[in-house]
Amino acid sequence: MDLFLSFIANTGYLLADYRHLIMIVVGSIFVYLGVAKKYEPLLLVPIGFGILVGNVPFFKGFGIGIYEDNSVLHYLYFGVTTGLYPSIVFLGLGAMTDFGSLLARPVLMMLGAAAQMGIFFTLLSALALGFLPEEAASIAIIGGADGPTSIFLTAKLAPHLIGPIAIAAYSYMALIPVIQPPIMRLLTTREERRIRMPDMREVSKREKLIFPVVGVLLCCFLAPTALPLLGMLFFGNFLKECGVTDRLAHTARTAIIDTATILLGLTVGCSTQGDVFLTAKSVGIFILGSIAFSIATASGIIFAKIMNLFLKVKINPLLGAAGVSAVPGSAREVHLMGQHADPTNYLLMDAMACNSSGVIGSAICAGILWSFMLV
Amino acid sequence: MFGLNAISAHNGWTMAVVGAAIVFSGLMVLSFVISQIHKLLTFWDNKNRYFNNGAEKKAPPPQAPAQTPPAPVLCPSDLPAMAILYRPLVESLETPFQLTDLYTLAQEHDFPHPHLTLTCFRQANFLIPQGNGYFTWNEPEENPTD
Repeated sequence: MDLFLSFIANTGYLLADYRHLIMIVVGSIFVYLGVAKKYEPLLLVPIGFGILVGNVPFFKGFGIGIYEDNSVLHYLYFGVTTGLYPSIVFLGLGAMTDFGSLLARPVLMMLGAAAQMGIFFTLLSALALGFLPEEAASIAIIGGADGPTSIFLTAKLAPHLIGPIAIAAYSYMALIPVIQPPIMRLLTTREERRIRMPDMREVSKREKLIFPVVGVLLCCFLAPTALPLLGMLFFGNFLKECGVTDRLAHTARTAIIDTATILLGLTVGCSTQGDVFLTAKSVGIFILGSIAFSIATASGIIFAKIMNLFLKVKINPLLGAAGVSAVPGSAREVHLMGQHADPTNYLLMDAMACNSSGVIGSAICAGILWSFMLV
Repeated sequence: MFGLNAISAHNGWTMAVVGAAIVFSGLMVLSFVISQIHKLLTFWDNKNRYFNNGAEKKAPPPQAPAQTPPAPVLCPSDLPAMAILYRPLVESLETPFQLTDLYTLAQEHDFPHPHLTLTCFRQANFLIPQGNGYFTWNEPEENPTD
């Protein structure tokens, strides 16, 4: 009987408290959104299920939980805390990205820069709310709308905040169809949304081959701390474009990125143990994250409108919203919004150009913020 | 520490302004450089022309293949007489008619060289184009043959 009672006392049913239950509900919502609503399922399903796994109550001290030494989850989490998984994700991202549209219309790269203003605004807001500079920088990078970059920088600067920051970043990426359209509608007129982009010029194979070399040199000389991200991004892209490593590029954009995404999502989800995750700081991070994401979207659109004051051939200001690096979600939203105003308007390729530059821009921002904290 | 004091104490303003400036300048430089790549490649492809300052003998432009002049269309000398033969065929068609229909009829009646004859009819304004491949017959009024 004692054995039975002891067993019962060690089950999750008796060890659970309200925080675990809250997080299990959150995890279930993530899984629901991913499966039923198809909001970024490749991200939300691993994270959501990871939240469920991470919030099963257990008896501490037996090497089970993600924060306990020698546990399996702890070893898998190593890839997050060291920034390994984000780098691998960037390798795969590079191997699947076609920078042709960006090369055809380089001016759109400025929209990718403008959309990073959300990061710096949030940096100030987080500092004003009392966060330490390292924490503020990690929270601010959510404005880049780039999950791997957010995790990478947070792992370097504020590892104790990886859980809430990763969840916030991926949540807002998944909620792009909800967050971005109202901002786009608010800041643009119907006539602006109907602006058509001129046809793109043909980009040669040699241009696409040279771009990753030029990109890695220029960007990483500027912000060497972005090397683990941008080095991998451009390397992956070079594998794709050089034409003699198709097998490697194929593996990078399929098996490797998928493996990294699964482990990244699952362990990030597991890191949201209710007793560690549910704090006032986490709530603050979620609020600041949504502000950062909204400002990033708005600043891209506003900058596009400012550019139109000087450009002979006007650009569709909706493209500014794709300057955040949520690939390809924000580009898809921009395209859909453009088509809503004019069903014959086709903005996807231009939006992808902004998206690509957003990825580069947010990685540079991460490098810059990390550099600032090293000083 | 909270508010503006916290921002100032942690060099927040400097970090934000300098950070934003670096990102903008970095992407602007990258944007400029990649906008020049295709020009540099074009320059590289034509480097001999630029560096040799035109001294290099230009390969003679490829000779256009000698074109054989189109054979003159030799219309039948008795075109008005041919028009008389064609008139019943035209009258059996609707007005306006398609040239292909007239051609088919002419072939069925074993008229000699219907293609050449129809070409000559067009040149001599026996056949007046009405657009979309339709024609009308103009012989009775302006080209009286009988």
